[in-house]
Amino acid sequence: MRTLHPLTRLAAVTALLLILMFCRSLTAAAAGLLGGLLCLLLHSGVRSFAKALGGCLCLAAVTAITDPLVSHRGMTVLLFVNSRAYTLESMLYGLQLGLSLGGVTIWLTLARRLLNDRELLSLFGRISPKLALTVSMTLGFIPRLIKKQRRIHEAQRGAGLFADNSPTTLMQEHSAVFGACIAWSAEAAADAARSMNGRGYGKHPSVRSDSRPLARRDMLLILAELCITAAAMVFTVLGGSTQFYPTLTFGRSEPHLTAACVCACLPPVITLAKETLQWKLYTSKH
Amino acid sequence: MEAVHIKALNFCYNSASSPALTDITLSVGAGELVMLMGSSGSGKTTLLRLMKSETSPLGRLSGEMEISQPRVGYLPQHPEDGFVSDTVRSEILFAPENADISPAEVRRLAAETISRFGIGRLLSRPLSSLSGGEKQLVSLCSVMVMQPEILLLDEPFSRLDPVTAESFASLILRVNREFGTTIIIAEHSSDYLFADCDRVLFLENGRLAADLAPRSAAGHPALHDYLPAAARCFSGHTPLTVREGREMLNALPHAKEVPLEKSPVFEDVLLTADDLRFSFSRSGEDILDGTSLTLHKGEMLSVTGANGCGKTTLLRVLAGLLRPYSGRVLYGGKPLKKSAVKAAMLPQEVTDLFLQPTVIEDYRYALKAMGKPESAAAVMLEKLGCSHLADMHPYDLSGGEAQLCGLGRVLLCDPQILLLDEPTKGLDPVSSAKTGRLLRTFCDEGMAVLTVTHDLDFAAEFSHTCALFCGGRIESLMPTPEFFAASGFYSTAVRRIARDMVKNAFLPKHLQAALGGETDD
Repeated sequence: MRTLHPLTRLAAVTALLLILMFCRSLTAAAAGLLGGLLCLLLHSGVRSFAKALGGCLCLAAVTAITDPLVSHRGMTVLLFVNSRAYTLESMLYGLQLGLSLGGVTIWLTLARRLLNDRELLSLFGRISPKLALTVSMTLGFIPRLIKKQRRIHEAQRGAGLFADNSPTTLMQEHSAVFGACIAWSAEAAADAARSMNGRGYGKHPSVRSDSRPLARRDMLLILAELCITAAAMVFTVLGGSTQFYPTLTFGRSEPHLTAACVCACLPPVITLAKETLQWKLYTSKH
Repeated sequence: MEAVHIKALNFCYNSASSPALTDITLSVGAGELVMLMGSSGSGKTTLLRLMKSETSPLGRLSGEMEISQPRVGYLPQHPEDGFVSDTVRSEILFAPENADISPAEVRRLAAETISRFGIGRLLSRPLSSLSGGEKQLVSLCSVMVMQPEILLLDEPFSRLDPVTAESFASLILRVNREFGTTIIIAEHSSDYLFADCDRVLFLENGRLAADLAPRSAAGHPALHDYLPAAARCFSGHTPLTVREGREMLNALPHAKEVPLEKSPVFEDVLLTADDLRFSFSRSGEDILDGTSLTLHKGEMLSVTGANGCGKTTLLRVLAGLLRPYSGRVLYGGKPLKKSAVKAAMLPQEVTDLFLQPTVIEDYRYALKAMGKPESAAAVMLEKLGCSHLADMHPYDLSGGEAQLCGLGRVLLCDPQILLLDEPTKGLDPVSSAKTGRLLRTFCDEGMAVLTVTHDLDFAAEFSHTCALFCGGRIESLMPTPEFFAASGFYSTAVRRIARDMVKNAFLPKHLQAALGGETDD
């Protein structure tokens, strides 16, 4: 989606995230998840798609199985666990929850892949440059921290620790490694701050040198995503939610809500499909 | 015109009892290339950081310091410490985007820097994926983008292999010669830029012990251990480069050959690696491509090779931290889990070994975790001569001190095999020689030591056996005298001076013997 402005990409992802988070509809959640998976397939290939699909199915299965254990509402009793009803409706509610969570995770993953740190800085830097820089640095810092944790752990193994497999010892050692990582983080933060000072940060307002202007197509797409999100919210208020208790009933406006969700998925899916085709058909073959 | 003027400068860190710098008076002219030398902890970094006001350390400062040119760039010792972004592009753009100039000007400055230093191919790469040399290059570019008039570099070569260091040195020289940038470079090693610099400043315990032109500095007794190999070989003469050394050797009467030192014979095999193959992913390149080696009791083996060739991976596989997909590693003839022979590894970043806030607490913690008496902590520090460092935070130790304390931490598990990853990285020549002698003592006590290093002088001086690692294989595993006597391009400076003229010479003492003089020993 590099042909589109970063704001358009952000708008497409945000629209889907809002629909998945605020609309309690089984069909809309499934549509949002499928749209996200399709985008992932087109953007990152079969391997990423298969991994994400497997993860989402596992998540949905876990929430569908565990929800009836804590919520015993519903008319269709499948079995009794500890003399408490395990109902089909509660299971479907758990499934909807899992699909929504899976969908949100997939679209957040896509957001990270479709927008690089420079683009995020340029988008949020207009609202709050300091907040944008903090977010960008934190996003960059997390992988460094994980890498450091692995390195310290390996150094300790190489120097005789972590040989004992007793859970208490392992826990103590892991907490010591975590403590060392925190100490390193403080040092790294101080170094980064010193480097930023040394390179003039804070003396003048920051500028974004690689901001690109919004094209007409971008404006239209952003407007479309805004309208679709607003429509989805209206459909939700007008009865777009799935009723799970006492029995499963689809909402009056649920088909419209689902259609809105599909429409929100269309711009990124079409753009990514077009780009995939372009790369396959138009690029020179060596 | 003066770029830097310092008079009677004193500086003491807030937390320290003694001053880090005492009565420093110096002047650096605009466009000069100055080398700031001295041992670890002599005050080089403190002096550099004081010259860049935004990075000045906290402490009590007295005296005069005038920096007449406003744009000063500072490159820290570890490039990672200075990075504030994820990708190369963001890192390059950071300074100009915060300099109150228009976006078009920012883009022009960045484009000029990227084109001049040829880093276009790196732009979209994450900083974490860069090699050591690439990180140094990006770090330099992120400073050069603002076109500084004064450039301060803190030990830029300490983490680079000889070939990468040479190319980085020539880049720095170009910046000085072509752009007229004033450069002050703090460095232990005189292998690079010593002969090309305008002046050498030598710091000793925070005091300026010498401020001389390089050829005069070569005759100063305080600098003897820090001089290029060429200057150490010819007493009374001052050749500074390999070329000058060859010309000097050619002009002087010398023996055509020095006797090849007899290598000790080792019998008990402690570690065997047989046809190791390792890759980080199934479809990835083989980092180890049929590596085989044998390490004996009492032997010190040095594996040399370029940055990123897989030396550290080899060490991790030998230590049992990574599993090869083919081949096997045997400790005393048995696999690691069944063997009574213990191996321990000193990582490249020694601070990764410390989990506690002081060195002694860390030793005690490790001993307790390994079920050993905590009293051994003080004994180990005493043995290494580091008792005075017991209560220091590991991050506050100098390079040499950290290396010694890290070595002590590794030795706490009583290993028979010691695997060391770049043990001399960032050490001054005196600390490096001290580490070498210590390792030889361990070998005399029956330990087997395997080091991976790109410090060829260290390998030549202290190893019994040497090998060159390239393309995932050990290319030549042989006794050190034979290894260096047969070497060509990838060798010590003395070997390059003596090539074709004195057979078997690869250390200063060999060349001194060939010239009929007394050796340093």
